[in-house]
Amino acid sequence: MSLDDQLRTALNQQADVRYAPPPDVQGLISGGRARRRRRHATRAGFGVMAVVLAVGGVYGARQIDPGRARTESGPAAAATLMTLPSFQNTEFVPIKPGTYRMAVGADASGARIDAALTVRGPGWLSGSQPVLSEVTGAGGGPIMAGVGVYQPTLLAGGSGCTSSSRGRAPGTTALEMARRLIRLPRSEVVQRPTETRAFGHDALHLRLRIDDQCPMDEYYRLAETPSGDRGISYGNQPEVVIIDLWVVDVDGTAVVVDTWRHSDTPTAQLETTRLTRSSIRFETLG
Amino acid sequence: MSTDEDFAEFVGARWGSLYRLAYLLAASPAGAEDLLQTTLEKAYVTWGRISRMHYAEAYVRRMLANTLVSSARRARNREQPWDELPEAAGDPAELSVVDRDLLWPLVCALPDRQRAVIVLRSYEDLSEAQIAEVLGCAQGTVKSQSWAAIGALRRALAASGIGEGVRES
Repeated sequence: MSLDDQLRTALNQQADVRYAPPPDVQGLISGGRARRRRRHATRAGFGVMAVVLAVGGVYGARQIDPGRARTESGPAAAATLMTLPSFQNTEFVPIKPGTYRMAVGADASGARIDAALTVRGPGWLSGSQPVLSEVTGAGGGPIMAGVGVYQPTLLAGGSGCTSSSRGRAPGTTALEMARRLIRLPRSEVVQRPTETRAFGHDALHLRLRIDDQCPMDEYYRLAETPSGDRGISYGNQPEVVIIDLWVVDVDGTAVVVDTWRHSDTPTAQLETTRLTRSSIRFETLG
Repeated sequence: MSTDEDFAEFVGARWGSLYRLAYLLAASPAGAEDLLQTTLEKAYVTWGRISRMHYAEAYVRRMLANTLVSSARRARNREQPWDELPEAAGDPAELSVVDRDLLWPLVCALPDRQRAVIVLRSYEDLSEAQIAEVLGCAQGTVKSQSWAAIGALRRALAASGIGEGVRES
């Protein structure tokens, strides 16, 4: 008998006599939820292996509802931000269409900067930044796009992956920040910073292609923000992420709005993302 | 059926089989429980997609092996690929029948990646290409890991006075 045969026999016999303790299914589900929450929160709107979520079943009953807030037909700017609900710091659950408040950062005097964002269309999921999943019947599909609103405290450095501790200062003005964004690790500039008017303020718009490949259990961290990491790795396989960034000058404070997508993101999702992004309005809460 | 119910049904039905594979991969009861728990928690995160696969269990079984070796991924070994497996079915080298109680501890003593290759090859009956896909490495790496593992086992058996006269790998 060859050693291969011996091994096959030995391993099968060893497995057959092994008693399996009973599973703690609820513990596994709780652990899985915690893992999903951490993954979503730390990636803060980006993610590592093409996260696919179940949107139906129990989650369907736990949707975040804007409730008293304005519905998607109303402009976000007209709402008083403090009265709006927030989906940030919640589990990875569906967000109903409507207007929400997002914490962004603070200006030089310490006054808080918030944003109002009106979620339009189905498939949106909560987290520190919202992501859009493919809506597929009873279950959820892969996450293929997302919107971010944040004030970077550090930009990606080194490899861009989370194990890289070499974050770079983001700059203090919109122009400085835009110039540093076009030097993000493993990025290719598709459109150089261009002056524009967006979200009611002067802004610089640029577009990058970023290779989000990172070691297993890591993700590409575009920026660190007061709300958590801004990650962009949501594929089960390494992806090229196409990301539009607007560096917005909010009364002298540079903040970022972005929308990211994969190369194969369907047109309908791109339009849903665009509509949601275009609803963003800022407010400084002095 | 909700996602949680579907996941719970899968775990209930396949737990025993998955645990046995986890035990062989981790080489200890406690390690098997940790490995299986980590893997199933990961599977839960993407259960919406996994549950729609035709071979969900096969996918989770591969996740088990991948989870075992992923922690050592960055310390990727630097051995050179080999062109041939050290031993194939029908290898002329014959061994006397070895008691599993002797062979199993030797398998347990192998490094995680080598043991994973051996378990995937001899227990899961995966091909080199399939093992390479599961472990996220080149086929040549699978060959060299297998070569190293079989060589270590032969030497250990020889040192125990079993398999004397067998060609040293």
